[in-house]
Amino acid sequence: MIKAFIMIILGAVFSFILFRILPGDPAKALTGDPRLPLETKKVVFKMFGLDRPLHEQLFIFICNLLTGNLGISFQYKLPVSQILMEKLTNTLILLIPATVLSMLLGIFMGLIAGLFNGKLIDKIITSIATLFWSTPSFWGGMVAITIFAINMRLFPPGGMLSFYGASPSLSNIGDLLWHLFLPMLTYGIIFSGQYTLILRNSLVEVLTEDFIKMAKAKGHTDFEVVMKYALRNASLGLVSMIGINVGYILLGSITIESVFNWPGIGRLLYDAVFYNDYPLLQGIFILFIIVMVASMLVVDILYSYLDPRVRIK
Amino acid sequence: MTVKKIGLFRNDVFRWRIEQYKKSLINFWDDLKRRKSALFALVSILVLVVISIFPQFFAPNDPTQRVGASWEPPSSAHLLGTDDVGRDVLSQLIYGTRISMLIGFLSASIALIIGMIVGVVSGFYGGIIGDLLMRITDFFLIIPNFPLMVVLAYTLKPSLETLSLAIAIGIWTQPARVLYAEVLSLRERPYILRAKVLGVSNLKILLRYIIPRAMPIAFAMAIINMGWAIPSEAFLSWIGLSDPTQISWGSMLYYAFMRGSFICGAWWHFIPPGILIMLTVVAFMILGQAAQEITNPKLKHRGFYAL
Repeated sequence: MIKAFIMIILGAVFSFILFRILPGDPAKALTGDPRLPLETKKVVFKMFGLDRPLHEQLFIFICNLLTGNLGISFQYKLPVSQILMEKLTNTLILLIPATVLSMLLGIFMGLIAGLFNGKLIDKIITSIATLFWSTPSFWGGMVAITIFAINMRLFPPGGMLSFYGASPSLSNIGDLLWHLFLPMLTYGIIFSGQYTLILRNSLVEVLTEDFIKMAKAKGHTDFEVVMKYALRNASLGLVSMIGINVGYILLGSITIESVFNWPGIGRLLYDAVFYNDYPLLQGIFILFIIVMVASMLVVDILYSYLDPRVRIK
Repeated sequence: MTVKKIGLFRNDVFRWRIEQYKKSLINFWDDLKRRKSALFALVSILVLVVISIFPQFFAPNDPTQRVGASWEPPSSAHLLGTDDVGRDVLSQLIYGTRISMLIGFLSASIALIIGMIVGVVSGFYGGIIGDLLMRITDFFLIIPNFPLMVVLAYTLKPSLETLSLAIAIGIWTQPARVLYAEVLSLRERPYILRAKVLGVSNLKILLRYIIPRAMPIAFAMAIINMGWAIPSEAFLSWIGLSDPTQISWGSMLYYAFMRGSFICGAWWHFIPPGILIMLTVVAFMILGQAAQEITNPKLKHRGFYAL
């Protein structure tokens, strides 16, 4: 826990460095206009605390972060943390079912491919998974919208609810699900590719080990062997991969939300870049770091549950 | 007399090294020939490289000039139609290959150089600096790499070089870790210990024995890095963080998304670049996978190891 906390603080310092010291300085962006008189510049600098030495600024920044103050968004004129909290629910509404779907699809396909290792069906599934894996997800979203929303008019091309600005509640859950379906499906299919490949490869590896022969010798059927012995071992690889690949899941949130105009964190990042919204971008970046660190923790716990060798240590 | 001997010795080592490289290249080629898919991937990549070097021989039109009406569907005059301002899509695609491949190549090289320095220094020298470098690598693994690329590309102002740098900083951890493991195992080999006992300096051991040995694995990592860098470029360009004056596959998707080709159903503007990105990534991944299996047999059956 302490390690995770230190990681988050380090990440915050890192993002401070990124945003303050790199050439594209927000202070310069704010006061870069040559027509601005020098006095005004000084006042603005003082207002934002930019006249103080850097280490002092860093200290203030960290203190603000600890109290949940991430500054004020240029675009919305609201505190960044408030916007993030609002959009986080929307992101989770999309991301949780979509990730679950992609993992289920991936596990299902990976299981079949691993069982029929080397046969035609394995080759078909692996090539399809490879194609999914290398599809740019935003492009996949564009194709899905063109086919299902624009040509076939089955689903809305974007947004979370039919009325702009409405918030999700029990009364409009049908509308929400109708909007959710296409982005969820796109995400689920495209991101299932990597899980398929990982599970298939670790399954193939596990199936050659001695304890599988032992289980077979005991008289278990092939199905039982896979379900009881192989899958649990193969899932170790999958779980550790997911830990590393949370960044990849976040990428999905950025691209799919941006294409489908889903009002979540990913779309917010897209807009923050578009509208030059420095504080918002920084807030999202720090939020992503926190998510990464937290998911590393969860993966560690899951790992110790799946692998007793880790537990003993 | 002694001077002459040492000179001769050096020359021999050099010649021997060249021989070794030749041999390993021939071995590599023999191994590759047996893998049909890898061979196919190599050929398609070579075709893309040729296209990106000489786009003017392949493109029917100037990609920046208006040659027709807006959103002309594919026809014999314009095989892939025209975009929102009437530029030929096929020509843009062909010229876009150059920027996409160039950014991919640049960022993969930068990532490899950073990864190599970090991996070799921390694997070979160890100590405080090595530890520190590995901690930094771990730290960069925690930082979500795509948002990091966005932030970097955003703060550094869009251009070809900064985009490559941003992508490289997003992907250098993988080569660093692989090379670290490799150098760590090389360091304990008997012939390295022998060289140490004979009093060969660390730097010489590094340059003569370790780095040449780690080269094939670094080469495989470079190919896999290309497979990462090209979609990353597309992603960053699509968000709008590339140089708007340069045509790449990603920026074509950006314009298709922003300027309405996408919403008014002009599929010929955005389907082809996406398919090209997809197939290029597949090609690099298959080739990189084959190269990794050949150069680093320990990793067999690990599949898309460098995800």
